[in-house]
Amino acid sequence: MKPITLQLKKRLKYRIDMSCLSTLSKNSSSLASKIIMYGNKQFKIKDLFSIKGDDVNNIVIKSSVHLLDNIGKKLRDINITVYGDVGYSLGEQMISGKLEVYGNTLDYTASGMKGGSIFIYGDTGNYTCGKSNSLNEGMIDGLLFIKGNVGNNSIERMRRGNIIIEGNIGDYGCHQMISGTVMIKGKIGKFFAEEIKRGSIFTKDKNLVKNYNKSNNAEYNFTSFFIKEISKIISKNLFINNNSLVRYCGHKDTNNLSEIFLFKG
Amino acid sequence: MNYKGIKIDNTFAEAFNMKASRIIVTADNLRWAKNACDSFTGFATSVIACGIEAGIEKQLKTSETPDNRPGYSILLFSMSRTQLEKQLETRVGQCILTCPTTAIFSGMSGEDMIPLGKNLRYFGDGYQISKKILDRRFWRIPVMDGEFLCEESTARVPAIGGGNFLVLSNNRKSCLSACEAAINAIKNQSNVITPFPGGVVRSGSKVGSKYKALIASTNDAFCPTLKSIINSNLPSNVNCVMEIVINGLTFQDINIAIKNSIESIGKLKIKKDIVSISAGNYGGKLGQHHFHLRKIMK
Repeated sequence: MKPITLQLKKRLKYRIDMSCLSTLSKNSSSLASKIIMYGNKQFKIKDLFSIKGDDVNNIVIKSSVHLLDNIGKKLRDINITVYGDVGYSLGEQMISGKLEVYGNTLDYTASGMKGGSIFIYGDTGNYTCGKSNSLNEGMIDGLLFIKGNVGNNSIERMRRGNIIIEGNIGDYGCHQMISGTVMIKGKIGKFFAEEIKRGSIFTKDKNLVKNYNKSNNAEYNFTSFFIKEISKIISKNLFINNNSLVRYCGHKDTNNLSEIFLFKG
Repeated sequence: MNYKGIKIDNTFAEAFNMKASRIIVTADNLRWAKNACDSFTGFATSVIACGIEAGIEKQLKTSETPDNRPGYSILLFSMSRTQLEKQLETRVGQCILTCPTTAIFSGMSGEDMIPLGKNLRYFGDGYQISKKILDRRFWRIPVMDGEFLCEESTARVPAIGGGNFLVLSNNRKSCLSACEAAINAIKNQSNVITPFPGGVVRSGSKVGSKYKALIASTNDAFCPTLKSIINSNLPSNVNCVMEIVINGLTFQDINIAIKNSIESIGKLKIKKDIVSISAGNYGGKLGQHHFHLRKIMK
């Protein structure tokens, strides 16, 4: 079976809600007749996209643009690969499956993510991994890999899961983080990890550890194992060298249980 | 039937359905991994009184363990899920957690999961840290040498316990040598363990006893010292019998293990002292799996 491939037939003027891709039935023919809104009119998907292939568990969107919103919203057990930019709320409240984007995304990427894995080989907008509508928590579980930069107000109230960022992160990142793991290769914006409760942050930014106590030199079996496992998942060597890690644990003012692993970059 | 000069009796071993699980224990070096495993698998020879049957499956290379440290894989067998859960938790808590530098991981995946470090985490007294990598959750428990890393749960799979064969010899020295060779032959075989001390049993048992309180007692039919007073199964020239009990994940695994073991005995110089190879059974009525020796060695 070949993956279902969607390609835009014309240049878009208005935004399209693509959340219907997450609720495909086992029959691939039903996709073509799904109704989507375009501007103030209803269209069938086949009117706007050329559709090939029949594997409903693997979807490829070619030459995507930033006007396609809600791709992979509440996604369950489906793999979606997108070539090009995507719009708002990519993978919002995603449950399982895999999302790959070879382009940039707009705001609310992976907000309220509950499981599965998202790989973005570009930049993401503001409120990445933020709180989803009507929810009081951000990312609940899963894995998010971002090759590029991340916008402001990202990773808010993260509960669980792993985030790997190879670029920079904007201001107000990791606000009220509850738990989970965040690895950042690049620079960190202002007001990072304010009101954090627990969780692990891997960074090379020394400013971040000013208010933390340096932990002892105990050996942590966990870090080498964790780095190895994450490297296996993202199919490339992680930017962190286990031998150079220094652990800081215990905020001087708030007594929270968060920890920061400082690495040399 | 003769196999390389050794008589193979026309009989079968009787084995039972069991539940099994695999765990991987790692440490900074093999010595401490072995210490932990020896402690864990101690007093785990028979479900009759130990709750589980456990043994070291094999030594793992650093490239084969989850955290790239030296380690061993252990297989545990039990008759019930409850016993398996209880024994696993108790033994991990008392034998692995306490052993310096160790970490513990699940050694198999499946749908039916049982707790490994799920309740052990409370030892951390609130300072334990959870880490989830996709579907697997791990616990980091602060201990005095750093951190104890353990996976939250491991899988439970159906398995077979009680595959066996008996080595009948005319002297004890040869019998023991034959058993040692047999055990060495399957020492690193995957999916099987020999739960008894050194892999060999000298106190084979039968079901029931003249004493009402006992559910098992000595297998008098194979005791050489009783040959003159009971209706013994032993030929007159047999003076020593030892049994090798093999538990495995599948029927085929035990088949291969029995075959390799008997083959290794056939290569020994002392095989002239081995009178025959037999097997223990209960008439075929109790166990669900029968291992016919002659079929295996054909």
